Amino acid sequence: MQTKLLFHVEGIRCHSCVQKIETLLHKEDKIGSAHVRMDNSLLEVACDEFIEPQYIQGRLKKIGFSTKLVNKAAEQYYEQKKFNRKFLNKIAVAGFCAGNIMLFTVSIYAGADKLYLKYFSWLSALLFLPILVYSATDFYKNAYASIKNKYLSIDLPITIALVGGFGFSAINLYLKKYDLLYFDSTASFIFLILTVRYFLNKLQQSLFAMEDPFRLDEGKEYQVGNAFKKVTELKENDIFIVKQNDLVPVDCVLLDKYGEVNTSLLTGESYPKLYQQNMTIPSGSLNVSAAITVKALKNYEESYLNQLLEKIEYVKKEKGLTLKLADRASHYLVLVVFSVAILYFLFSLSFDPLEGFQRALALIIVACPCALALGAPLTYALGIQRAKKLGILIKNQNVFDNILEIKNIFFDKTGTLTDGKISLVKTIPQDIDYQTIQLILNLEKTSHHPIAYALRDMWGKQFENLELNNHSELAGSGVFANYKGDLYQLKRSQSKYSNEYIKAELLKNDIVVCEFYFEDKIRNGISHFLNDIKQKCGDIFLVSGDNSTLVSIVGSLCGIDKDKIHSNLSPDQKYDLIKNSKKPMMVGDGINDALALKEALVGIAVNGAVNESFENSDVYLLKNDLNLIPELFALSKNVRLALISNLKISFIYNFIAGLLALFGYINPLVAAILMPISSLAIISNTYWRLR
Amino acid sequence: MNILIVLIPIALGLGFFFIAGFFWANNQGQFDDVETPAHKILFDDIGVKGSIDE
Repeated sequence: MQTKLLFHVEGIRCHSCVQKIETLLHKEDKIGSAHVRMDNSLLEVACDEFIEPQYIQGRLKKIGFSTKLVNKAAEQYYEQKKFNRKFLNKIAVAGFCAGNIMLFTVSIYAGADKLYLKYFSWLSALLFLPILVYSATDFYKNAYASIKNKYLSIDLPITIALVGGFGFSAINLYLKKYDLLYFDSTASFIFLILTVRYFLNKLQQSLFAMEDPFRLDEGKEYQVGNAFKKVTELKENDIFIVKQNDLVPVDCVLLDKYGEVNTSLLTGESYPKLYQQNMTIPSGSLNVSAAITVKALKNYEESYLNQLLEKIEYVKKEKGLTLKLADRASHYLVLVVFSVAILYFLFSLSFDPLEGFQRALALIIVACPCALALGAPLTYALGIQRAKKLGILIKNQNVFDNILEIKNIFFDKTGTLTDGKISLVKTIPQDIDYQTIQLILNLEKTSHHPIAYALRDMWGKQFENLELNNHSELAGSGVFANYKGDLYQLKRSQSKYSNEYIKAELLKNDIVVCEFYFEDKIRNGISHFLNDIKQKCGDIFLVSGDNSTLVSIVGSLCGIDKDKIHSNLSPDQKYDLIKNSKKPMMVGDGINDALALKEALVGIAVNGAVNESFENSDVYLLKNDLNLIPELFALSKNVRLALISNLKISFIYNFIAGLLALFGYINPLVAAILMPISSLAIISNTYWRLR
Repeated sequence: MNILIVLIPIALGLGFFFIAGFFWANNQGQFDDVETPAHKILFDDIGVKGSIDE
């Protein structure tokens, strides 16, 4: 039996990564094929026999690639693939037919004589059929849905122009009126619109899980007694070990004397917290101390983390169905065109009904919102592409419209306004000599504690290896080792200001030698950035789950008004705040922000955000730089300008072409010249505006 | 005129032949990923099972 597995691979940069992975996997007997995609970092594996995903992940880990099994999104991914293939087939047929129709029609316009005229006209009609019954089927579906839901979508007038144009031309063909055939112009606009839509679609699809250090890997196994259990199988009273840098998967009680866990992504607290024996550790915390032994208090399903994840899944994204600018415009255009056509036809009933009917139909065909149907998706597609170049992933085109309406902006603190990791800000004594620095670096050499990372960030470049004896790390008492007969220990210690700083001490034979203070620093240039945004779009709020002291310090440093700072918020409270405010935008990164991100009109997940936030946001910043947000605003304004100027062009074209049609000047030749000119004008205008 | 009656069906037939070829290639997934294959030409022997030495 053949099975398919889909993985997301981190850190694919160039073709040699692809080669390494594919070469390795192709050597496996059970694996039929393995393909790595560079555009979205996905690895597709087809296995001839059943193979454990963990086995593949293990093999890849050995050559230095960490992977994540894509479960939920896999189905969607395969569906998209199928959809894209179908779409491409339809475009191919439309392109082939439109091109050939064009060849014959040009000969007719160039003056083909009677027999050729007949021959070529029938060929055009024949070649139009595949477009009508195959390529354009999606237009019919959308038009039907729009009638059913009493909503005027742009596909409705396209369908009418397409079917009407074909019917009209077919009747004329039968009546041998060869100068009244619209096959060529109708075929080419269908081809153009399909092509533009395909590219917009592709651009919006390229979004899968990003690099994410804090991720609940459902396949991960924990040792319970002698057996291994998956996260979802963990039950109450199971005793197991959580290694350093692993996630605490269920609510549990600490059995060791001390443990230190980081709850920042779950609650927004910036500093790791010290736990003592018998205290309850919430699920979703990250163990930063050495391995700890814990006992599960609840089954996985009842744990806090799982319940939060379920709630995130459950809350639907109800972002009011506001008509977007392009839709609104097409709405009016369609109404006007159709009422004019019908009125004209009624008016003509008294003198020449046939001519009146022909002119009314010509009006509908030339005034078909070709420019609109082409302009809007092209503008959005180019906008998304431009954003990607800047480092902004946009998951849905509505962002461009929505972001211009934003009134209130909510920021998360930890990891959004601040770095989300601690760094060394002060030492006592102020200057530490080279020898001591070496000692500190060697003590922390193998540790994954945030303090160790912060110290390495500070001095890591100077590292020289020293000979340490009895080097070990213990939860709650830090790292210690013997060096030249003295016992050194580096550990976190309590301080008066534990809300603001995190403090560590270096002890030599139990006597304090130096003290270190760490802080979760505010990002560079943040207050300038916030001021900028405040002037442009509205009120700024700070919403955090952290303690009030720290939140108000950060808030005042950022220049946020006191009454707009909220601390100690649970994920639900954040969600409620967003829900009860007008036109909110949320910027955040943690699991605790996911609900809010989903609810906000525009949800922006910053770089390094957890999977849940990434999946529930509309925008993802690829670079760790909040200044991308003002750039997104500027880009959205440009997109809006491009849309408006396209509308103007479309309006002018429709007005002129409509008048010409009503006065009987439109024949297929004029339409064949006018319609491509309008499309060309739209395309070049869009490119120029978003260059 | 007569020659056109022969040539145009041939031209259209050829066209249909290429469309069929495109359908086949597309349904096989040859256009799913248009970025990676451009890099793969730089490899030596990828994709051939068992042909690469350690």
